[in-house]
Amino acid sequence: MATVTPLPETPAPRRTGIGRWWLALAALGLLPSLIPLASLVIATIRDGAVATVPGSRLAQLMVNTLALAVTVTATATALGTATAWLVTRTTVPMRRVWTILVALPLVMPSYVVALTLLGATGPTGVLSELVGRMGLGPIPVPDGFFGSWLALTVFAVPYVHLAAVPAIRAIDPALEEASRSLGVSRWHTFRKVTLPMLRPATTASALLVSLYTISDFGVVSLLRYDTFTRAIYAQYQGRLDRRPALTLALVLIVVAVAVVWFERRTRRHARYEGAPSARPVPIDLGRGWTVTAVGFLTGLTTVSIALPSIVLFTWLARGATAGQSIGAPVAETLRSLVVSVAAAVVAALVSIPVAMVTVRGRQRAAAAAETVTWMSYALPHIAMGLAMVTFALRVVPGLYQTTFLLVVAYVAMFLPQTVATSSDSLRRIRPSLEEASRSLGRSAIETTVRITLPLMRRGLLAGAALVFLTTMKELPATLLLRPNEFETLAIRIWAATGEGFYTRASAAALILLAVSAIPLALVTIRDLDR
Amino acid sequence: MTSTAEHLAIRARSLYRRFDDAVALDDFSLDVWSGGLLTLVGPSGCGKTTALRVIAGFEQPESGTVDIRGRTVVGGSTTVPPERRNVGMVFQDYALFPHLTVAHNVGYGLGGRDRDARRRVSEVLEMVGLSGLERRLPAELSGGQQQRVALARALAPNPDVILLDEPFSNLDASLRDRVRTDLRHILREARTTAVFVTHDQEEALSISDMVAVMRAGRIVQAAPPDQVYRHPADAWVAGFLGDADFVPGHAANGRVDTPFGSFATPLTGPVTVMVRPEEVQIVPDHDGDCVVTDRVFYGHDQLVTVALPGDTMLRSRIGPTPSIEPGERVWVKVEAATAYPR
Repeated sequence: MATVTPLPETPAPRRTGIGRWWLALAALGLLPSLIPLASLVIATIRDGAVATVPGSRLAQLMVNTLALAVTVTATATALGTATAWLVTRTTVPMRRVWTILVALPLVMPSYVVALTLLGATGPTGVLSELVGRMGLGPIPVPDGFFGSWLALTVFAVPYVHLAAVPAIRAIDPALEEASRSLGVSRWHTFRKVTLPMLRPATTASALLVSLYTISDFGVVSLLRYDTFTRAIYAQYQGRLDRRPALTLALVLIVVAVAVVWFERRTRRHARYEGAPSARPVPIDLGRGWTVTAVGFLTGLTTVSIALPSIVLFTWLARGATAGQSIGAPVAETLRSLVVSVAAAVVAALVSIPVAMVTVRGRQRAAAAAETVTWMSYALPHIAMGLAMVTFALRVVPGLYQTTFLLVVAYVAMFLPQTVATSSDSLRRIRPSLEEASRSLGRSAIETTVRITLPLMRRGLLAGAALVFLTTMKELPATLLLRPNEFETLAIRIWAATGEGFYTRASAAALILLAVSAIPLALVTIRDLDR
Repeated sequence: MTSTAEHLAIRARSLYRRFDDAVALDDFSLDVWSGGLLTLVGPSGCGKTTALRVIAGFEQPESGTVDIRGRTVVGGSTTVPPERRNVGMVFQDYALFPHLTVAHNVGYGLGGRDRDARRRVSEVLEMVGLSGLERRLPAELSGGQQQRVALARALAPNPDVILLDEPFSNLDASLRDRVRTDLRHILREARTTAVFVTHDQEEALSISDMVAVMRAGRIVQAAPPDQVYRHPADAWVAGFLGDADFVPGHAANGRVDTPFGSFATPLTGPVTVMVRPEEVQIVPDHDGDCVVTDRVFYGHDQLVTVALPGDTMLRSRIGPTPSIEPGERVWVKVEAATAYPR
C-alpha cells in the first residue's frame, strides 16, 4: 500500500564560492598575523638562537609556567563552575545580583589584581594597616608562586563562570528529572548526568584559563614569579643579545598553540546541544546550605571586588591627603582611547572579508582563514610584540616604534574576537535572504551592502566593543612596540606599581576600570538577558 | 493550445544537475503555460526544489536549457544571473528582511522610492489584504501575515513567473487551508504564472491548474489534477497521488480477471491492477464472502479494510454509516480498476 510520508526538505548549508575580491581582502587582513610569526621563526633558526638558552633554564621555566597553569586552572574551574551552578540552579538568594557580581571582575586586567595584592600587603599595605590596629604584624607581600596563583585565579574565575552559566542553562532539566524518577539520588544524578553534560564547556574554559595563565605577563612580572613571559621580557630588556628572548618566545608559542589546538579538538568532539524543554525547578538549598553558599559567594566577591575597590581608593585618598601629586593621567587616557578605538574599528572592518571566507568560502580557503585566526588567538602577546619588533627591525625599520605598527599589532592579536562575532552573525543570516534580494533584481554587491552588512551590524559592534576593551588593557605587546615616551594607562599602572608608586597606579587603574567597564557591561548584560 | 514559445512562461529542456552524492535533475523537461498555476509535486529528494532553484538562477544545471517567455536564461553559453530573470520567488522560510519594514520589504524590488514605487507597494499590500501594516517589522507579524508579505514582495515588480517553494509548510494545519485558498485567489487576480513546489499530494490536487509529478529528477506526468488522479501514468503515480491498492493479475483478450471481478484493459500479459478505495463498495451481509479486518473512522468518512477470498486485501472508503466492526462479513463490489504493465 503506497502511502508516502514525506520528510521536510532541509536545505544543506551551501558553501557557494565567493568573489575573488573577498578572498583577496581577507588575505590582506590576515597578513599582519602571519608575517611577524614567520619572521620570528626565521630569525630564531637562522641566527642559531636555539643554542643560546641552556637546557636547565628552559626546564626550570617550563616547570614554573606549567605549575602555575595547572593550579590556577584547577582552582578557577572549580570555583567558576560552583558559582555558575549556584546562581542558575539553586534557591540561593539574590541570584541575579550574584550573577553580575561574580562576572564583574572581568573588567580587571591581571596586573590590577597584582596591584591590589601589593597595595594591600607589606609594611604600608591597606590590609596590613587594618590588622596592625588589632596588634598584629604586617601581612607579608605574597610574591612568587602563591601571589601569582591567587591573583590569576581571581582574574580567571569570571571567565569560567560566564562560560558555565549558559552551559548549565542548556541542560534539559528533563534529563535530571528522568534520572531522579529512575530512583537515582540527587547527588548521584549530579555526578552521573549534570557533570558529564557540562564537561565540554568546562574543558573548553579550563583550557582557555591555562592559555591566559601561560600568556600572562602583568601578574608574574609584578609579583616576581619566573615564567616564560617574565624571562622573555627580562632578556629583551637586556638588549645585549636578543636571541634568547626569541627562543623562549618560540617555545612559549608552541605550548600556547598546543593548548588551543587541544581546546578546539575537545570542542569539536563533544557537544551536547539540547533545547531545554522547560525551566528547571530550582534546587532548595535549605537553611544550612544557603548560609554556606552565601558565605562562599560573599568571600569570593570580597576578594575579587571589595578588596580591589578598597585598596585602590585608599591609596588614592592617601596620596591626596599627603598632598602628593596624584599625577592625573590625562594624556595617557587619551592615548589609550585613541589607539583602542583605532584598533576596534580596523579589526571590525578587517573581520568582514575574513568572516565571509570562513563562513561562505570554499572548504580549503575557509579552513586556511580559520587556522590563521585561531593561531593568532593562541599567540601570547609578549611573543607577538617580540615578533613585530623583529619583523620591523629587519624588514621595515621605519615602522619600528610607531603608533601605526602598534595598532597593526593590536589588530593582528585581537582580530579573532571580531572574526568570531562577525562569523557568528553571518552564519545566522539565512541564505534565502540573499537569494530573495537577488531574485528581486539586486546584484551581488547591492545585496551585500543592503542586506548582508546591515544584518551583520550587531556582530560587528559586539566585536569592536570587545577589541576596544582588550586593547585598553593590553600590556606586554604595548611595552615592546610603543614609541618612545608613549605611555598608555596600562603602562602607567604597571610601571608605577613596579616602582611602588601605588597612588599613581591606583589613579590610572580607576580610570581604566571606568572606561573599560562601559563596553563590557553592554556586552555582558546583553548576553545575560538572552 | 499551440506550443509556440510566446504562450510558454517557462520552457525547460533536458536539465541535468548532479550533487556530490545524488542526481537531482535527470533529463528534466517541463512546459509551463502563461497565466496558470502549476504544481511540481514529488516525494522528498526528488529534485523539485532544485528544479525551482535552477529556474530562478540560484543553481546552475550541468546541461539543458531554460527559456522564460521565449528568452533563454540558461543554456549553451548563456547564464542570466537571478537578478535579471524577472522571476519572483516565495521562499519556504519567507526570507523577509528582518531589518526592513513591511513597506520596505515589499518595495525592495522596485528600484526606487519614488511615488510610483509607493503606489505599487500599497497596491500589492491591498491585494494581499495587509493594508495598514506598512510600518511593522517582520518579527511583529503572524506566520500567515509574513507569508502574505513574502507573496506581495514577489508580486510587486510584476515578475513574468512567480515561484513558490513549499510556501505552506511553516504554517499551522488549521491556517493552511484558508491561506491556500487566499493565495490562489490572489494569484488569479494578479494574473501571474505561478509554479509551486510541494510534497503534499492533497495540496497539489486542490490548488493547481496543472500538476507535474516528479520522481528521481524527472517529470513522470503533467496534466490537470483530475486527469492525473483518474488516469495516473503508472502505478507509482497512482500510489503517490491518493490512496490505492495494487493486485497482481493476468490480462488476455482485452480483459483482466481479479478476485473482485473482470475489467477491460488494452494490455495483455502480467499486469498490476490499481483500485482506489472510493471505488470499492461494501454491503454487510451474514452470508458475505469477505471479512472486515480493520476500520479507521474519520468522521466525514471511514476507511474499511476487507479480506477477499484468497487473501487479497482491499481498502474501501465509504460514508460514516453504517457502523462496521472488524470481523463482520460483507460483500464487495469494485466499480472501477486500472491495469498497468507489471
